Amino acid sequence: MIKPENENKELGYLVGALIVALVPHIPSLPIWIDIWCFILWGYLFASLWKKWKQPSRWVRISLTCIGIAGVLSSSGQQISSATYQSLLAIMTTLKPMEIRSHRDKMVTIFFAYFIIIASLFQSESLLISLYMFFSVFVTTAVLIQVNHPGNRLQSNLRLSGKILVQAFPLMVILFLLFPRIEGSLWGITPGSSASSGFSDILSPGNVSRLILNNQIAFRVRFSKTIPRPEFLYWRGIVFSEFDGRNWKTGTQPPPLKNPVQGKNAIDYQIRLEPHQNRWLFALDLPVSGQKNEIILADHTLRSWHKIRKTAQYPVTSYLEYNTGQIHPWEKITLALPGTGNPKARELAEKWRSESKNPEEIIRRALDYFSSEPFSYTLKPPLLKQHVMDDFLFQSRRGYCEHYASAFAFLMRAADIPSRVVAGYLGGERNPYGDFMVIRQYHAHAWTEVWLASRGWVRVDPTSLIAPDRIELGPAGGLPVEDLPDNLLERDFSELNSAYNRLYFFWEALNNQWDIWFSGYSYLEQKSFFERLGFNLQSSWKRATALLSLLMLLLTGFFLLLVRKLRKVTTSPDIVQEAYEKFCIKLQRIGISRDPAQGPVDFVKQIRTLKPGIAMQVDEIMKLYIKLRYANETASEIRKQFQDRVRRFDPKSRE
Amino acid sequence: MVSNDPILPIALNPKKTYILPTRFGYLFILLLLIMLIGSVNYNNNLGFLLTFLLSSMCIVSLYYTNSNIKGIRFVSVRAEPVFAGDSAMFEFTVKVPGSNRVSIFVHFSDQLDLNPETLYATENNRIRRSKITVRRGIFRPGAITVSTVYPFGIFRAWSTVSLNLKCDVYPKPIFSSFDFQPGYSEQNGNATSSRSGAEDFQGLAEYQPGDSLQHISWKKLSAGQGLLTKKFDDSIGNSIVINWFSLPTQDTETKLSILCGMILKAHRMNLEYGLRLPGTTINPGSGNQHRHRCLQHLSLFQNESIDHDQT
Repeated sequence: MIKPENENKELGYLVGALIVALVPHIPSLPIWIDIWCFILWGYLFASLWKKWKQPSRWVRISLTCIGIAGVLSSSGQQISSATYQSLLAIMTTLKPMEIRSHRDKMVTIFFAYFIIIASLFQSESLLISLYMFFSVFVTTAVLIQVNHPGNRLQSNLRLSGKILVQAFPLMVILFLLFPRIEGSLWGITPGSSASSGFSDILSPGNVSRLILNNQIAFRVRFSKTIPRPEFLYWRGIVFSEFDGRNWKTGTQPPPLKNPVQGKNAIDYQIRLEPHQNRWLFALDLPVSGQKNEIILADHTLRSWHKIRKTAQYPVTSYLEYNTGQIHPWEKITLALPGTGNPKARELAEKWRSESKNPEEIIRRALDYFSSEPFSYTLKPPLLKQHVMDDFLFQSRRGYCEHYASAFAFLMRAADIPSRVVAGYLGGERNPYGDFMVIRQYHAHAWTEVWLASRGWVRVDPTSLIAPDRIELGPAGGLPVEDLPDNLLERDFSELNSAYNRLYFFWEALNNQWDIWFSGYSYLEQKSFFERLGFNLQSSWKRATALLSLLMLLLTGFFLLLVRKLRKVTTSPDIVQEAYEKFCIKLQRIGISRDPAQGPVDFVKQIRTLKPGIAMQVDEIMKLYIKLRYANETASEIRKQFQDRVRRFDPKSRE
Repeated sequence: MVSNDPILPIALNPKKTYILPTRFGYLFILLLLIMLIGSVNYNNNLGFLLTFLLSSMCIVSLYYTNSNIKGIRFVSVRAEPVFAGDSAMFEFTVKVPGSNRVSIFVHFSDQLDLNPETLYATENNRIRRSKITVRRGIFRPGAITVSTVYPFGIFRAWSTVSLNLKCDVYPKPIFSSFDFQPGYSEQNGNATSSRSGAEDFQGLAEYQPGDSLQHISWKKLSAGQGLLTKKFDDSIGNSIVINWFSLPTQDTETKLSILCGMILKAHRMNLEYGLRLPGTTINPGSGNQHRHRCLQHLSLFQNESIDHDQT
């Protein structure tokens, strides 16, 4: 009974639902899969339109084999989430070719829902969330279509939208009440994106390559005002070991014991994108950590677990501080390899012998950087064996990591404890909210030296070479011919341009979404219910309480639903109802009305069969005819009619 | 006649309307569980949101599924008698309150139905369903189940309504060689039958359209007495009696089948016929009513209490 053209249309809708569900995956798929998909989808639509026969079983099997082999060979050794995405994409092109029965169609729809949820594990952005609702809307409309063949898609879309909107309140309740747990059930396989950002070795070129990367490193929301740009040093990793060429983090320092003295405390919240490492970023100098974090003795914040999914954490930092005494383990910050870079050592030794105190040495070193013809560039020449000598006396061209490591080397050579700190500098200030976005290209490296009077002090030699770097961001200070395209495009100096305003507005929305939605987790749920007055300390107790509350609400909801459904429909047609009652009463004494029989005919029949009740019947019928056919609307007549029917008792007259 | 007839119209009882997941429903619940576990493991809020959105939509769809069959009323039922072995066809008139109902399955409770109906709110919807009969007698096909899986196909709501359906089933006819010889009826000792026929003049009557021109009394017409028809007593002459006792076979059912065939043949030949069964005699007559009466006697023969559920 389903016409073939309807069947074809339905297959087309199914393919459409699969495509809609797959769209968010497309950017992360290999190009050949995209091409594969477009060709096969094109073929599918053409075959439905032109009514070609579907490919035979052997063609389908060989296509499947080719697809899977292609995915496995292109993903190489590693099976990442991109591999699964590719397999999903291949299946969307092949599954529609074998749809025959209603069962196949249902399974295909469920598969589409599965593709939708797979896309959510790639990103939780506002755009993806909005798109999710769109996908569910479309897929559900096709689900309705499959269960009601022959209906117009338009009315199915309407019903799908209606159900979606009606499901909304329940969804919100479930979302808020469903107990969240800390950590995960059995661990998490790393996401597709390999860690972008820092590694635990800092060598020349490590930071400068990040300038090409637009990805968000983290977002910050300040509880009060955003500090001035010269304070926006986001500390992440401290490199204490130098091997003559590279800086390394070395062994992990112990946790910080003595609290830091400081002032100008500032509170803020960071939402860190996953980077597959344990370090957390915080404004110089973090002093408080959460349950899952520790502050190490090198004043970096560290998470207990690798950051494999977006992490949200509040931090308090002192903008002005004194870290106090040096620790014995920090001797390493004076260590240098036995040999190498003789000219640099000589220069440092000269400064040391000529200076009264470490402060003077530092000043001399900084003077050296600002007076000699150093330049700030993304394209430094390759450094030879003695990297420091080469850089300080020959090339004199480099990015922040060159300056930071050269400065730290000089300080150590002059017997001043020093180390390289990597993190980010600055960030995008969003005019629509008190938050900043820090992207990979904000990456920066600077130096810390230890002074007896002040503890560890931040020294940023880059600021002498490129003073605009602090105020204007990564593009500031770089020669124009050096600027990569991604920074040229992001010229935010003109805040008034419509594009920029839109961009920042969208960013602000995303940030709000992240804070209110994506950030809702174990801790937020806990504090949410604490604010509501439920203070349950044990997480098991809370989970049980939440689940019981959820069950209670759902049961109540079901009871309401059942009550509403069990209620016998009161037809709005009171007259018709009364008339049916009247007919039923007559039926009990053996007079039944043919459905096609009109009232006048019926009265005649009754008169011949049961003359005893003819009078009563006549009266009722007259009222009925008046109400039904003469468009009588007076409620007294209607009441009278109902009344007569109610009192009508043909049995007693027999 | 039968006192336990349900009173039509009868609506589906909302208190006896049930709803359970279909096999796709169970599959979907499994999918939702997997989604939930994944979301818990990855602490993925968007995953939670989708899982709960789909679950909520399922719960909302329960309401749609249930209301899709709610309030469906059977206004009338009709069934023509059939011969044993044929399909009994029941025609239902169904009305729905409120809005149109789509993808409604109406079927005998012990059968499956693959053709969904759309029931329109403004009309008398006519639905025909048939079921094979086996034996003569009164055929009761049992209750009617109304079900739907609309809109998502993951929940099935159904309600069973007992309409006390029944249908007369005549014996399966056997057409034996049989011709109506004059005097055939005399053999069976029916004394009143004689082959006098057209010869016995009975009198004159007002002319009725359709009377044979040969029987018009032209004499009276010419005498100015109007158009009159000569009446002859031919009612016995053309009538036959179909007789149980004249059949050679001993088997009751075969006998009834042969009698049934005879009745059908006689009816088709426009003969007047009577029926004689042990204990019953039906006077000769003709017409559909008469045919039904005779065949009904055959179907209920020694069998008045046969109210069997045939499958």
